[in-house]
Amino acid sequence: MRPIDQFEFPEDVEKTYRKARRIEWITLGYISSAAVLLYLTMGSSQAMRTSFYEDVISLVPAAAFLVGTAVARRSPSATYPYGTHRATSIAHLVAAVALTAMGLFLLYEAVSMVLAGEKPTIGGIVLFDTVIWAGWPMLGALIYTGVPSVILGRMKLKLAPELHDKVLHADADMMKADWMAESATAIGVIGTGFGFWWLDPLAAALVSADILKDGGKNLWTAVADLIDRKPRRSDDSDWEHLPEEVKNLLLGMDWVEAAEVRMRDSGHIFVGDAFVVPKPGTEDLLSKLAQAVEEAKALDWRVHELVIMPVEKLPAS
Amino acid sequence: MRVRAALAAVLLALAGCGEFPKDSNETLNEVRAGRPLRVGWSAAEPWVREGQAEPTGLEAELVRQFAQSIGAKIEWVPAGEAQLVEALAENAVDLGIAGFAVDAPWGARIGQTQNYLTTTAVIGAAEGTTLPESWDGVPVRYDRRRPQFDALLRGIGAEPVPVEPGGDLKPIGAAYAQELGPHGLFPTGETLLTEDRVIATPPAENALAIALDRFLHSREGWIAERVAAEARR
Repeated sequence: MRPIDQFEFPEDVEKTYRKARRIEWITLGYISSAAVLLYLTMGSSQAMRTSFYEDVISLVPAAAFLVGTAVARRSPSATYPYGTHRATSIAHLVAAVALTAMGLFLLYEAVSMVLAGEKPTIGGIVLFDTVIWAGWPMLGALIYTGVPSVILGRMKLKLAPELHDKVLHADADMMKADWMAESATAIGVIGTGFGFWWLDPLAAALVSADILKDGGKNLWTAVADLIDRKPRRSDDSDWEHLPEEVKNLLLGMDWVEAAEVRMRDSGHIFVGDAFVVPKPGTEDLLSKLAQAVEEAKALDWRVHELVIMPVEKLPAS
Repeated sequence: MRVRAALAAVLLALAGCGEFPKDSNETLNEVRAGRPLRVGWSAAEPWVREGQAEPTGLEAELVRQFAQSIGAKIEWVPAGEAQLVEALAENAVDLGIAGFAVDAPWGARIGQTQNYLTTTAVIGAAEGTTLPESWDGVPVRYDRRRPQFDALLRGIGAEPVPVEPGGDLKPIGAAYAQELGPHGLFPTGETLLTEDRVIATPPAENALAIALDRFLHSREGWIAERVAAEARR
């Protein structure tokens, strides 16, 4: 059996990929340190607890990118003739399931905290031999996790479309919006300090709902990709136009009477089949087909494998 | 943007007001204004002890001093620990002392201070005692008013031997680390349990909690002395 071609990113994309990996490693290290800080300062605040879990769960998409993309770059073989690109989709699915589950769990916790009559108390904490309000270190920890998250998120958001990596995009999108969650938590903490304890579980519920929303959105995309939906852009803003571009390319050839293309998103790359009806009397069909494949692949690095099938008439669509 | 503006507004409001943090139920203000401080208590050796009319022990003494520092009278409310938790959750008492530890199972149903003392329960031995290689089946004495020591000792395989209050713990006995010296015991290096001790407050009474935290922090030295002295009685 002939496996699909060995896959390599084009040189500039390879550079972007290395940069993305570096940023994800920084993310892992940084968010871990922020999570430790949140854990140490959280006290009995449910909003702080939720922010802590949010940090922990936001490690999953970063790790999913690092693992999934590394696996996806393995060479196709006789055992894995289509390569291992689907690893990206699996990583995406795992991250989405983790987010969804965590969102549900934290929402349940916030609600049950109120039902059980639990209220946060934020009293004093001894820091350098002085008693200060325990809310101050909490707010400090929130700023420590919130501000760089936005910066890292924005950096990753720029790289995601170049790599056509949905995990990276999902991760970046969540981090970019992280400041809203941290602000909600901060309002919960400050509100508690003013005696409005109910602001704390309310903030916790809002943050959980936000995690749940991210989870649900990604779950939908990951599942749809795995069942080979028509390819979407990595930022989910629109359908990919590549299949149409390939079709138009084929239709533009003088020996082609009609053409139809279908493609699936296999992670970073697209794999597809094209059906062409050659004009009657076309000579040297085999070399023309080979030529067409080369031209289609030259359109975009993501067109990785295209099988062109000459047919008498197009299959009914 | 809206969230950021709200945050800024909150911080401004915060800068402009006097007392922060605040109680959600005004406990500290009411007590300062003359309402008695209702202190629920439950005997827990050696932290809270039955007294003649009022409880004694380290925690009762601390609460007494705290009330004095804010100019409040105390109304003592004897109750069981579970009742205390319920009463605190409903703001029916203002403070709870029952030898509470930081990791009690009550969660955020009640509030608590920072730990005012870290205590370790250890095994000590009299001078000249040959220490066994393993605790398996070794009789270890303990004051029977500390029933939790029974389980801790069985947990390491030792044989717990309860003694009457004030009885001799020699040659091998379990006690809080601070009590070893007064009992004539030396540490064996075996720690049974480490606990952070706290005083319970009603939930969301942040001003009360931090006022008590400040007081307890200022009494740190006194607390250490007192713990050692208690054991000698």
